This record gives sequence, structure tokens and C-alpha cells, in this order.
Amino acid sequence: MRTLILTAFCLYTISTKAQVGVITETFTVKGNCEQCKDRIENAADLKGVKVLTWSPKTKIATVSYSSDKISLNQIEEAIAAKGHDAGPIHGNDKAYSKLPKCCKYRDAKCEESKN
Amino acid sequence: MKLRLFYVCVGILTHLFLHAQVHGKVIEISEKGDTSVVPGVILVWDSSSIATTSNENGDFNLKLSKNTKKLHVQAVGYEKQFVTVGQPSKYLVIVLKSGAALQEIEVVYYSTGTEISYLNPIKVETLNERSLMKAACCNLSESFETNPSIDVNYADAVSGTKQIQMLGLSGQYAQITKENMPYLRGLANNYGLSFIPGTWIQSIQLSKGAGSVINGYESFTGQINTELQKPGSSDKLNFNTYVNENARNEYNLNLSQKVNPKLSVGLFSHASFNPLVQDHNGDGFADIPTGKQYNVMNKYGFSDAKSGFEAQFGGGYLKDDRTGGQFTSTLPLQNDTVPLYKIGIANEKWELYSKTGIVFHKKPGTSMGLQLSYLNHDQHNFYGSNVYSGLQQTFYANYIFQGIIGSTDNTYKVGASYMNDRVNETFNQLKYGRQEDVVGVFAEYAKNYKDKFNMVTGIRADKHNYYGVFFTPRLHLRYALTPSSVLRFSAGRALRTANVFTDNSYLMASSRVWTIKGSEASLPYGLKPEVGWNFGLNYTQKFKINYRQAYYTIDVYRTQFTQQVVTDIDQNTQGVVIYNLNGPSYSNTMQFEFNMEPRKRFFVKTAYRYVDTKMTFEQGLLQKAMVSKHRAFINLSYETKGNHWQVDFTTQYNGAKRLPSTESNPGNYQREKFSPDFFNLLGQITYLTKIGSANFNIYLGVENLLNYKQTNPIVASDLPYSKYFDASMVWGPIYGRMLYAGLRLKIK
Repeated sequence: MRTLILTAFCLYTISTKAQVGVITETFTVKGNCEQCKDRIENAADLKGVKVLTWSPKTKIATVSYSSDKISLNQIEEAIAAKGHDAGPIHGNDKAYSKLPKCCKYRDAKCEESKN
Repeated sequence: MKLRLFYVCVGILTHLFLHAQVHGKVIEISEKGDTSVVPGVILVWDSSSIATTSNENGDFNLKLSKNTKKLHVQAVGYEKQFVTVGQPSKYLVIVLKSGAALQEIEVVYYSTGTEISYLNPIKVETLNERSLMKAACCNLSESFETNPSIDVNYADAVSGTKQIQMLGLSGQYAQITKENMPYLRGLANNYGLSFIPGTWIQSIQLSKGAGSVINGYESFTGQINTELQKPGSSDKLNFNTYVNENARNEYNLNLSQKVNPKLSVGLFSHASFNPLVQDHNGDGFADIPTGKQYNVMNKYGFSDAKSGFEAQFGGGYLKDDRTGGQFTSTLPLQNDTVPLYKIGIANEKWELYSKTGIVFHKKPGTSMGLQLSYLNHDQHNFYGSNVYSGLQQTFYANYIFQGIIGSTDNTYKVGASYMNDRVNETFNQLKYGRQEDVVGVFAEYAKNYKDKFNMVTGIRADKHNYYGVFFTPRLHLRYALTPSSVLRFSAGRALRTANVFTDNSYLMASSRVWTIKGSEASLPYGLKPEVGWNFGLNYTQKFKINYRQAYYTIDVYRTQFTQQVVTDIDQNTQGVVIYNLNGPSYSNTMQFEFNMEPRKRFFVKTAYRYVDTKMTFEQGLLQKAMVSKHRAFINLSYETKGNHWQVDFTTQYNGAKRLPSTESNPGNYQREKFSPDFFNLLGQITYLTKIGSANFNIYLGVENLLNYKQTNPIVASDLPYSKYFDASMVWGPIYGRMLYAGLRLKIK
């Protein structure tokens, strides 16, 4: 138990100290549902990206990344390549056409019920 | 002004009882057709003070008003306008169209996709399909191996049944429901966990402590609710097969189809076989019984967005047969006249259910629902010369009305329930019968104060044909000290009728002589109901490690009984004595849990639990047998990029358990006072890929990697008909290391 807390504490201090060039930014990604969330977050699983979380409610993606390894633009490109409009970048049309119904945010229609 | 409404998505029944709130976004479309978000737009309900402003991303979040659906929208450069909000539970997009001649405000509804954010004062842990995949085998009883809050143990050395413990007490003190309707009660207590195949499960909600009054008065330690796959939203086809080293093989096939936009149908089927007798410890007894299970369920879902009417209904049938026990005598000179010690367990169960609900679009936050279910469960068991049979028929009805007071910050639920429960049992030719008739009413009030403080408080009054009128109060408080640290408190009362035989089925696997010291002839088994209180305190702190979310949580719970049915196997090694509690009985637990993601897609879950469970026997206050005081748990899981491989590894530490006294037995039939402590390791690797449009998974796993086994789990296995025979002294694994493999095929 004590070891547990100690380990946790050590990890915490190490990790907060070591990362200097990490930036956290937000941008808008278009999408509708939890399926979109998985796709968007997986698209941002790139070298240099610490974590990206996207909320289907707010359509906001929050990303922490090492600015010396990757740029915000590259992250947005990667998401847009999967069909989701990301920041200023238009989502790839071909990829968009293959999205499941509930993710067709441009059609403003969603026939699939989610629970 | 033109006002167009699009009803876009259909809410589903699970949303029925949630609280409504308006979330949304304000966007502007210019003449050229460019869209941008609009911050600073003021939104006010007509003639009320409930108001909000869209933030820098145009987002807003507004409590509902009970009195009006008219919403003022005030944006700079636009005239103040009204919009009418018809469907409060949807995501609302307010579109401002600017143009030289035209100023238009339009409302568009979207589904939120997720459940409406509700800051639940009841701490609910959800095991989703991903976490259920971590332990691929095979049914509900095995779904908790990768969860630290619930212990899974073999009940005895012959039936192969696994039982759970929650907060230091056996599974019967938790309220186990299926789709929020009573499921694991009475006759299903002993083997019922194996009656829900894993592939049927969509998610499991686990909450420790008192719980809501809506689902009844029977939860002492907590609730475990299992949601099954829903026709309409689950995969069109889901096929799963599993086989282990000992040729246990299972097959699941779930089919789901939309008949039309309103109606969907699902057919779930399961078959499992355990064909081979295995005896790894060489005591002449099968380690687990051979047998087979057939299980089928048909579900329908109906939903009409226009009228707000939704329904789910269906039925199921199960047949489970197992035979086991001694297959060869270990005595060198076996007398042919002494029969082998055999066991047989036969269960047959069918059920019908329906859940209907109406969401009132005209009155925000208002809905009502009715749950109906009927269960018929027939059980015939024998353990050597102990013969048991039981029949349980349960009818259950529960009506819930939900409304709001002023805004969604104040909501209430009121309702009434009826339960008719007939249980007829025969044990060694003695007959026991009871018919419980319970009418109940309940009310629950939920308050939210600025998302900082939440409360759910409820009370129910039940009129029971045996126990008269009794009240069940429940209270849950949540206080957010900071946005990332939350303190919760819960308290509540519970009552249940003890099922003397099915709660203690494992003791039938012994030569113990049963004595029930009933005092009240008019009550079931002549025993008083079990009554207890549960108090809990929980602190959760979220923080970031390496930019990723981590949290720790500390739980302290106390369950104390004012009345309890004590099963005493200590005062006489050759007997089971069952009587009403006379003195204190309690279980105190403390759990510390720490979760983090130290590297991308690498998750670490650790937990430690301390349990102190004591009860008063006729010979004094004693530590409850078969409960580990200390338990620790580490679960590591890793996914590769793109989620093609998933690796899971769990280590469980089980501290020493007190064993029931065997002092009066002859030397070679005695056992230690305490079991040794031991580790249990399990792991699994899954490969996920796509074949065309189908998702294909293949997995390989191992249970009990260290091959740790309890030696001699059966006392007097050489003389099964002697008075010393006892197969219930099980504290550890009976089975050694076990490899398994399986595959899943899912078509959306």
C-alpha cells in the first residue's frame, strides 16, 4: 500500500518535471457521436501527441503534444484525413462518404439511435 | 421568422429516467454560407430568471424550466427572438442567419450521443464491453476477475460454481438485477451467475453502498446491474466460440435486426458443454461437473419518437444440467455395495418481461415507465444423499413517474411496486413453502446545486404479508471540493428474506446435518428477515500523470445487521446450525484504488482492500470464515496503435482466510485454522482485425498461471458417506493452470 502511493508519487513527479516542450491547445472537430470520438482520438494517436480528447457534446478537441516532434497542423491533417473537419482543415470527402450514418455531421441527419 | 424543427435522433429507453437539460451551441451562417460559432449570446426562458450565455465556443448549457418552452435568444446585431424548445433531452443548435434583408434564427436538434451529463451522487462503476473482453470466459460469474471491488471464489469442491463477495459479504447481500429488474434472488442465488452468458452482456453497472429506493429494499452491500445487448443498436450478428484445455466449449450467437424504423428484434442464443471428467488433484472426484447449458432469449424494442412512447419486451428460456462428484473410489478395497458419491444439479428457468415508458414532450423532464416481469425457476439437486428441489415463481411490477420542480436542478421520482414471490422447497423430504406478497410505494428527490453539491434522497414504504409495514430510507450526498476531487456519502437500510438452502447450497456438499432453529412459526423457515444498514464514504481525486488522466479513490464502507440469519458451521464440524442473530454482526471494508495511463494506451489499475467481517455465533463473536482480510490487485492492459492487439494481465493477492473449525475431526481429517495466502495470475491476448465489414477477434488466455491449487480440497474424500466428509472447505483454486482460446465475429 505504502509502496503503491510512493510509486504513484514518484511517477507523478518524474512525469511533471521531464516534459518541457509540451503544449496544450484546443480546436473544433466536427462529428456527432461516440463512434466519431473513437475515430478522432485514434487518428491523433501520433508520435509526439501525448493525449487528445474530443467531446461529442462540445465538438472541442483538447490536445497535449510535444511541439518539437509534431505541429498542431499535422494533428489536424491526420484527423481531417479520416473525414472529420478539424480546425481550419476540411475533412477528406472520400473518407467522409465512408463514415457510418451516425457520423455524417454534414448531412445533419442521424438515423442511428445511440444509447 | 421561420422556425424549422428537425427531430433527428431517437432517444432510447435508458434515457427515460435521466434528467433533462438543454445543451447546445449557437452558430452563425453568413450570406456566403460560412459558419462560425457565436459567443456571448444570451438565452433566457420566457418570464423566468433561468438564463445562460454561450461561451467562447458558442456552447451553452441551460437548466430546463418547467413553466415554459419559449426561449429568448438575444444576440448582438439580431433582434431579440423567441424559439420553442420541444425536445429538451436533445442537443440543440441555434443557427443565426445573417443577411441584408433577413435575420433568421433556426433550431436544429441533435442527439448528444452519450447519456445526458448527470453528476451522480451515487458512485457507479461501469464495466463496458472493452473491460468485459479482458476476461473472455464466459459468463457473469467470471466477469469480475479483472475488477477489484468483487471477489470471485469457488463455492465448493464439487459443483464448479463460482460465487462472489462484495464488501466482505456473500453475493446474496448485493442486489443483482438484469436490466434493472430483479434477477439473482432466491433460487438463482447459488448458480444464477452462470445463467447470463458474457456475449449477451452490453455493460455492468456496479455501485457499492445503499443505492436507490426505486429498485426495492433488498440491497445491503450494493447493486450489480447487467444490461444486455439491445436489439437495434447492437451488432446485426455476433458469433462467439470458446474452448479451453479441458474441452469445455461454448457457443454464442446473437442476431439483431431492425424490422422497421420503430421496431427492432434480437435473438440471443447460447450453448455450452463440459464433456470431460477431470481430476487434477487425484482425489477420485471430478474437479468440476460435466454438463451442458442451453440458453435463449428473444428481445423486442419499440420506439416512437413522435409520441414519446418506448417499449422493450421479450422472454427467455434456460436449461442447465450438471453431473459430477466421485467417479472412482480411491480406497484400495472398494466394496461394491458402497455407491460412489455423485452430484447432480438441474436448473430450468423461463422468464417474460416488458418495460414501457412515455416521455412527455410537452412537459420538460417528465416521463413515466412501467416494468413487468415474471420468472419461473425449477431446480433439482442432489449431493450424495442430500436431495433438494425448489420451485420459484416471481411476478414483479414497478411503476415510476419522473418530474421536475421548477428546473432540472430539482427532480423527483415517485412510484409503486408489487411483488409476488412463491418459493416451494423440499430438502431431504422436509417441505418448506412461502408466498411473499409485497406492495410498496416510494419517492425520491434529487437536488443539484451548481454542480458542486448533489443529493439523492429517497424513502420507500412496503407492506409485506409476513413482516408488516416497514420503511427503507436511503441518502446519497456528493460534494465537489474542487472540479477534480469529489467526496461522497451514502446511507441506507435494507431487508431481505434469507433463502436458507440456496444461500448455503455449497454446504449440501458435506455430511453435515442441518438444523434450523426457527423461533417464529409463521415466518419463512421460522426465521426473522435479515435487516441491516450500510454507510459509506468515498473520496475520488482526479489528476494528470504525463498529461493523461489518472485518479485514486478511497472507499470506506460499513454494513451492520440488526437482524440476520446466521449459518453456523463452527460449533459442530458435523453440522450446519441456522438461527437468528443475537448480538453484533458487521462488515467493515476499506479500499484504495489507483488508476493511470503511464504511457499511451497502457493502463494500470491497482487496488488494495482491507476487510473485517465479524458476526455473533452462539459461541461468541467470530471472524467470518472464508473471507480474506487483505486483498490486492493489479491489472495491466495495453493496446497497440490502431487497436489490433490487446494484452491484459491481472495479478490478484488473496490474504489468509479463517477456516471453519475442524478440531473435533480425526487427525487426518482436520484442517488448519487459517488458509495460506496466495497469488492468482491471469492474462489474455486478443488480436482484432476486419474481414470485409466484419470485425473479427481471436483471443488466447490463461487462468491461474502459477498453477496454484488447494491440495485436498475435500475433507474425507476417501470416505464420502462418513460423517466427516466435507467438500465445502474451499478457499483457493481447485483447478490448475488453464489455457483457453476463442473467437468473435461481429457484423454491424
